[in-house]
Amino acid sequence: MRAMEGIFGRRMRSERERFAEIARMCETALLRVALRLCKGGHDCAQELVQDALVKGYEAFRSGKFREGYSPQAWLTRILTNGFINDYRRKTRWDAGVDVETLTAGGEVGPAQTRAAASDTPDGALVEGIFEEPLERALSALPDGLRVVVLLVDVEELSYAEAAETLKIPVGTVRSRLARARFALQEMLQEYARERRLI
Amino acid sequence: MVGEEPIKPCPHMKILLSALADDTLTGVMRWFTEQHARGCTRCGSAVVHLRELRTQLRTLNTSSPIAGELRLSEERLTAVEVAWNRIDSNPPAPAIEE
Repeated sequence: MRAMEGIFGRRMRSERERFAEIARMCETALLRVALRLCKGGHDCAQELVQDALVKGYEAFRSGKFREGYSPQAWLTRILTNGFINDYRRKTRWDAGVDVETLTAGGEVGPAQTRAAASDTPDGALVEGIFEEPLERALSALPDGLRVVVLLVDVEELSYAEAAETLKIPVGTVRSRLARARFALQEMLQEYARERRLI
Repeated sequence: MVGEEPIKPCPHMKILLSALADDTLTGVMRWFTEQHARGCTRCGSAVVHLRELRTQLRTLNTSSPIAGELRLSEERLTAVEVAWNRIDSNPPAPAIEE
C-alpha cells in the first residue's frame, strides 16, 4: 500500500486529514508544475513537491489557508516560492543569464542564452516530455520568464496572484509575459521549420 | 498553428498586444491597441498568433506527455509523513489555535 494512503487513511486530527485531502487532490497538478519548473527533471520535481507539501502543512496549521481560496492555486504559489527561494540557490540561475538581460522587445536572446540539450538538469528526465514542442519551448525559456507563463497561462493565476507569488510588480508580470509569449512563438516557429527540414 | 512567417509586430506594441490577447487590457489602452492592430497587418497577425498560443498553453495540462496522473515516490511520501509528524508534535501558536 502506498505511503500516501497511510497518511490519508490514519485517524488523526482533523486539520491533518483536511490537509491530506488537499494534498491528494493537488498532487498531480503540483508535480506537473514542478516538472515544468525543473525542465522535466524528475528528482528536482519530486523534491519541490515534497517541500511544498511540508511548507504547506506548516502554513495550513498556522491558519494561513483561508476557506474559499483555491487549494491548488495556494499550493502552487508555495511550490513556486520554494523553487525561487531555494532551488535557484543550489543551481546556476538561467546559466548566469538574468531575465533583464533579454532584449527589451521580447526577442529570444542569442543562441548561447537558450537552453541546449546539455543544459538539462541532473537526474532523470520524465520520458517524452520534450516530444511536445510547446513543452520543449517552455523548458528553453529563461527561468524568470518560464515561471510567469506557467503561473498565468498554464495554471491560470491572475496577474495579481502571479505578482504576489513572485514578489514583483504587476507591470513586471505583464512585460515578462509579453517577452515570454513572443519568445515561445519564435521557438515554436523555429521547431516547425526544423521539422520540415528533416 | 504556428505560421510560416516570423511574427514581427511593432516593437513598442508588444506588451500591449500581449495584454490584448489575454483580455487584460481595458479602457483607452484597449481601444488604442485594437485600432492599431486593425490597421497594422503585422500586429494584427501577432494578436491572432498570441491568442492561439494562449489556447495551446491553457490546454497543455491535458495535451502534454505529462497530462496523466503523476505521483510522489514512496520515498518522498515517507519523508512528507515524517515532516508532518514533526510539525504535529509542535503545537501551533496560541493566537491562531482553533
